[in-house]
Amino acid sequence: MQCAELQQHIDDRLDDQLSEMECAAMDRHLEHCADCRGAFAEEKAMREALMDMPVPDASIGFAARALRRAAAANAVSHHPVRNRAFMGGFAAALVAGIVLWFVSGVVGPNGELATSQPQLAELSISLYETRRVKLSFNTPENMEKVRVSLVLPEHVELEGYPGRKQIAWFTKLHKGSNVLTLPLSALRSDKGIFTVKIGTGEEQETMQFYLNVAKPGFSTLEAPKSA
Amino acid sequence: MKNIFSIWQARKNSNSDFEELVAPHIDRLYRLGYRFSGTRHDAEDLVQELLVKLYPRSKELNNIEKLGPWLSKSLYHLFIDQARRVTNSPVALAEGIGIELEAVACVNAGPDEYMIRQQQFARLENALFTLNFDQRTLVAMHDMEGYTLPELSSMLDTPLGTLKSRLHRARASLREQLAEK
Ligand SMILES: [Zn+2]
Repeated sequence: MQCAELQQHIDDRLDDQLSEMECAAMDRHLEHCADCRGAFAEEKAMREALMDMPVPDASIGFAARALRRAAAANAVSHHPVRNRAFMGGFAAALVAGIVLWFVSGVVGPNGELATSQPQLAELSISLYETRRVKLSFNTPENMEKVRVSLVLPEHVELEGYPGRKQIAWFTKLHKGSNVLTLPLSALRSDKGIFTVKIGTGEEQETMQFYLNVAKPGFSTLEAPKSA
Repeated sequence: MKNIFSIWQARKNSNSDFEELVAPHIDRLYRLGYRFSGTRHDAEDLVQELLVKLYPRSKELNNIEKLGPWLSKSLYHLFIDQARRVTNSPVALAEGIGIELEAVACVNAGPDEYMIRQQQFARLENALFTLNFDQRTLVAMHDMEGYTLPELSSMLDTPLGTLKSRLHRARASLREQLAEK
């Protein structure tokens, strides 16, 4: 076995893809070739390092919370969060359920989901912190070109779009759930209406909810008491 | 209106089996999500989105023979979809810039050996993010999370030989990156 050939097959060896005979031939070569031993050791070390790369633990209670949110998110479709005054025939078929949720960060004990409410749903975000708000649209069929537009209240910005209060673009919707992630950050504490429109020109569905930015210091988390 | 009605009906019938079926796999999915995305936040996000999407399908999940690999495959496809969305949506574009290296950022002062190890991980992590999308996800699944080649071949619908040569190139490129510094 030549050096080049051996080094070609180090991967296979480490992936258990070589026969016993091939392994034996490789071992014979490695015994007397320092170059190949070096190459082999290097590759093996890299693989071990890859295996050992740390993964930080998920946030506390993540699994239970994720399951609870999945259930709640799907339950909401019985009573979609939207302003019914805007519902049209086509639009109603376009969006069968709208769900909002936040991801990680500081969370409430119950999953901070904006569920069905008789009035507009209210989302709370904190000052000086980007919250990723998620909107999920369920559509009964694929839609090639749908216009999504956002109208933000004065006190809130979409990350990456400073100063823009109206943002619109075209997108595709797939049959089933479509999730839109909106990184929102608050400029000051206030309360205002956030509007999301989705439609195909002629008809559109409008969802509105309150974005409430609490004053700093009203956090539900207590700071540890100093001695 | 028929469409909505049928969706609502389907939702009503979905049951709490979902939790029982999926709960044992969440940790593994989270790990895989972390390997793909590189941050805890994005990993949780990805898993959460997968669960929201799969929740109405618990009956179907019940009939899947090997749910673990099936879920991993779904997570992988969701991750690909998200990456595609990054190029389609102005929102995602704004969001997709910059990779947080939170895993390596929290290095405490400690024994030298620990520090050296952390530095190795940091270099490796940087090198990983120079790989292209296919290479990185493949290295993540095979070399980091231990999915076997035959498993991946059926999960990704890709011939074994193709996977091998992709991995081979990915590792060569990793070695090159690591040697540069
Ligand atoms: Zn040799």
